[in-house]
Amino acid sequence: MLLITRIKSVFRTLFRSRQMEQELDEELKSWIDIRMDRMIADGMPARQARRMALLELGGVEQVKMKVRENRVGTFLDTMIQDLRISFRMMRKDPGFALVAIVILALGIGATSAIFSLVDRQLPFEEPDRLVMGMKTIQGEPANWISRVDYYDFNDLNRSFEELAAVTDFTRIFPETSGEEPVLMKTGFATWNLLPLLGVEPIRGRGFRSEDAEPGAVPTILVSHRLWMEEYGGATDLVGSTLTLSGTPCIVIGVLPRDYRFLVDADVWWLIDREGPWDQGRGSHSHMMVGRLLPDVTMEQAGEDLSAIAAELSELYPETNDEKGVALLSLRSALMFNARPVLLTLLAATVLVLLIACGNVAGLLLARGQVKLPELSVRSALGATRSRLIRLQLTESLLIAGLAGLLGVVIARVLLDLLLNLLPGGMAGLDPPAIGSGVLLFTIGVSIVTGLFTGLIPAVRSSGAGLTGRMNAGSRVTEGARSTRLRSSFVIAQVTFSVVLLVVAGLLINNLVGLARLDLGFDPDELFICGLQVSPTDYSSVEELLGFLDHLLERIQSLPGVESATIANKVPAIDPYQDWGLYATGRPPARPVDGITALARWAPPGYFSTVRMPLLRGRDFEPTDTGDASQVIILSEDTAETLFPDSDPLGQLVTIQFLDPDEFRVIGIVGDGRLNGVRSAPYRAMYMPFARQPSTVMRLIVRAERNAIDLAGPIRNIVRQMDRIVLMVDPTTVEAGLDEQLGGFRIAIIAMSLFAVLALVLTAIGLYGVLAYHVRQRTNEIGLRVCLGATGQDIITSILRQGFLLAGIGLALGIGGAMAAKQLLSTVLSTTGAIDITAWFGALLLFAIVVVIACLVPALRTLRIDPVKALRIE
Amino acid sequence: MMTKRKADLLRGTLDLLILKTLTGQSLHGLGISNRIEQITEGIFQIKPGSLFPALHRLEQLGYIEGEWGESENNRRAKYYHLTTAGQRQLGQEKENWSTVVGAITRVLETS
Repeated sequence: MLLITRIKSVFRTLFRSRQMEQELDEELKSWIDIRMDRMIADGMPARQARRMALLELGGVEQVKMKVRENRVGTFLDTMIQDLRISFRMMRKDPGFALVAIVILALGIGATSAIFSLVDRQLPFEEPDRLVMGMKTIQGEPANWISRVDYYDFNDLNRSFEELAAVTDFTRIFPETSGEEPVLMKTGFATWNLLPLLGVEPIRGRGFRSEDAEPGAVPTILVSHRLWMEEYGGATDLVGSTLTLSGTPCIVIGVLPRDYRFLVDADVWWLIDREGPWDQGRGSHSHMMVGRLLPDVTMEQAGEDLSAIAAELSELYPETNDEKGVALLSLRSALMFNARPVLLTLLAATVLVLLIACGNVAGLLLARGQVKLPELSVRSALGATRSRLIRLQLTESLLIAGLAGLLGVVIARVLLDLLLNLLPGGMAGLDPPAIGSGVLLFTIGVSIVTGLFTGLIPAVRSSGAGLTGRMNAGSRVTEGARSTRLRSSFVIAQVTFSVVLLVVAGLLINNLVGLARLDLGFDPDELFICGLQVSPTDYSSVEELLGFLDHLLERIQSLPGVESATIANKVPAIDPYQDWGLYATGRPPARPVDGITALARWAPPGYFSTVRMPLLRGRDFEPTDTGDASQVIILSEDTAETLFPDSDPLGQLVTIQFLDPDEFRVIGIVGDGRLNGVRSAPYRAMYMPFARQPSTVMRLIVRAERNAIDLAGPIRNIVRQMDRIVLMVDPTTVEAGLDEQLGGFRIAIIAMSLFAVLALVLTAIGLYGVLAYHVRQRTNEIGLRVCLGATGQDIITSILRQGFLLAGIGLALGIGGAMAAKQLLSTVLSTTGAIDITAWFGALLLFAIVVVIACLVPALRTLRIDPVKALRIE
Repeated sequence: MMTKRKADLLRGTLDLLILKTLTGQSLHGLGISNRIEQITEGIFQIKPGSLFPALHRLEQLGYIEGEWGESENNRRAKYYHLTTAGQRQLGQEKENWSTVVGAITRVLETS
């Protein structure tokens, strides 16, 4: 009952306030009347009685205000009142409001966009319980795990609900049960991967442990994309049989849309104790992922697995000596490369936001001066200082709130823009969207922005001395303190801008350096694609080699083709596959002390096609076949490491995993960044393609120009061959390198955008302060002109003011930029490029903008009519 | 700070006085302050600036109800009376008061 009464009261306070006011008026009037009656009855004259009664009451307005303040629901009421007043003020001055909103929206939008990149959620169940495992060699992280080791970890651990393995080597299998072969990218995982992630197929079922038993019928899961695009969403796909590379497999389920985990695959195949990769314990091609048991921490699990690894070291010293295991959260593992860049961007957007806040705060300060008369009136009517501050803050919160709304839109646009430039996204993560987390963040940022921006102006303009400013006629001049505040805002803005500019310049410099990096071969106009032949089509190795020779001949005879070759991997595009090797007869004391080199197979003519320099010895020749094919060409670093004191040519090396394993060195070639443009050059070894012909290979063609145009003609040739050859992923080396730099490039574009935005905002801020200065001292300027000062003098003094502010900001900014450079050392790969150009470029741009921002108000002083200026308003 | 607390203490006491005064009778604002002044023999003189805020607050909380009626001299005036909830609240406030008084008395007696 009571509660209802109270709710009704709040309701009345909010919505029937006028009615309540009227009633109160009547009540107070009645009080006065009754009191007067008594006094008149006692003999007092009417006029005097009235005056006494009013005195006793204490002022109708005062009493009314006290009643109002004590009402239930008064807080809400004042807030709504404030909002209404703020809206009204905004409508009166829409230009200002619009400018402020847009400026803040840009800052908030940029920050939210970057935050959504940083805050990506993993689309799995309880993703914080997921960890990734990698092996360590002598304590150093060394990526892949061996399948055989994985099964031991799986069998012996006590920390994981599930532990699964995934392998990264997507194979492209031709599916031949239809009329035309269809190519399918295949991923490999243990049966328990989907349950571990908490993902359910949308059709059919996932793998079960029985599917991995020896002798089980081969089963596969297909991706949503494949199901829709290749099979039109056919309802009978589940349960049907596809023939992958000659093996019939039953489709048991379809995966959810956009499902990806570490690997972007059309078809998922099972890993079991027999395969498909890593026959031995010493071969490492797998990634390990696990879900921790409810009460186990990552540290505990790490210790558990390390203990198992130690046991394995004892049992299998050949392959597991000094091999350990390290865990990290799945989140960190997936974001690893991007984290520093993203954090840099986030810092940059925060700076931009601060600059924007500075601008709007400056604007509010200036406007606060204009509103002094109004505020004085309010103060006289009894508004307390805190009430006035609250009013001001409501206004800036309102602006910030609207800016936040606009900011969400801007964030979405910015995000789309950035994502278009991002290659492929990161496998396994949801594409970043404006989700609930980001919205909350935006709301939080808007509130903080509003408070931050409005606080100082609010405090300033509600300060003591309001009562003296009530005269509407008094000239509105900016107080000295206000100017100082605005000036310090501008200095701060300049500092932030300088930091952003310099950092952007450094990043750009870095990218340019990377683009011109020496890769060890010539990446220009190099067409590449994958080729796959059917293993059953060839009864002998010679047949296959003969066929490939024929194919290469036809390709080389195409117009515009300089040369063509094949290999198992394309340099800088296809990384990894490093094996151990040593000089024959001098094996390392322990396997872990030896070196590895990237294993590559290439036919004669490969090095001249990719333009990798042959430094010593000779290239492969067609005669290096059969018994004479145990020859090897080493990269310079490999040769120097294995044979520091002797001539490598003619010596024997032993290669891990090969049988027979002894090879004679016949040549030395240059080193290259075979693992990618952002990696260091790595040791390599090349063996004749004829030795290990695979049915899956890479075609590399040097074009005279426009390499990508070769895709069509080559595809035609491939189709016309009399045996099945499948071509996949035609592209160029340049495009591949572009992709590698892709993420980096976005960061730089975003960074540059922010820097420019920051500079523009700062320039506006600087201009604003100076323009105000000019307006304020118009009087003085007029006087000086009359007294004979030349235009030049005036301009110089204005410029001096501006340059002083900019100069202080610049000095602070340079300090900040140097500190930032230190922090960024992880992001800026050391390419040896000189940074002077970056600094110089950034500071030059800055100087130009500052000069313009200062000149405009300075020049405007010339237009001051001294007569007008001297007139007292 | 000090003034605010004093006001709170006074307000609570004022509420008590108003509620008690309205027990068994309806009075308008001026009537309430007159009655209190009368009973306390002039010690408590409630100014309108304190009275009306308290009255309206009590009304909003549902402890008293106001009705417009005619006073002596046929003036329109708003008369307040106690509600059942108000009666209960009065009992509560009386208890609180006794507790406070008792505590203060004890302090004064022991030292």
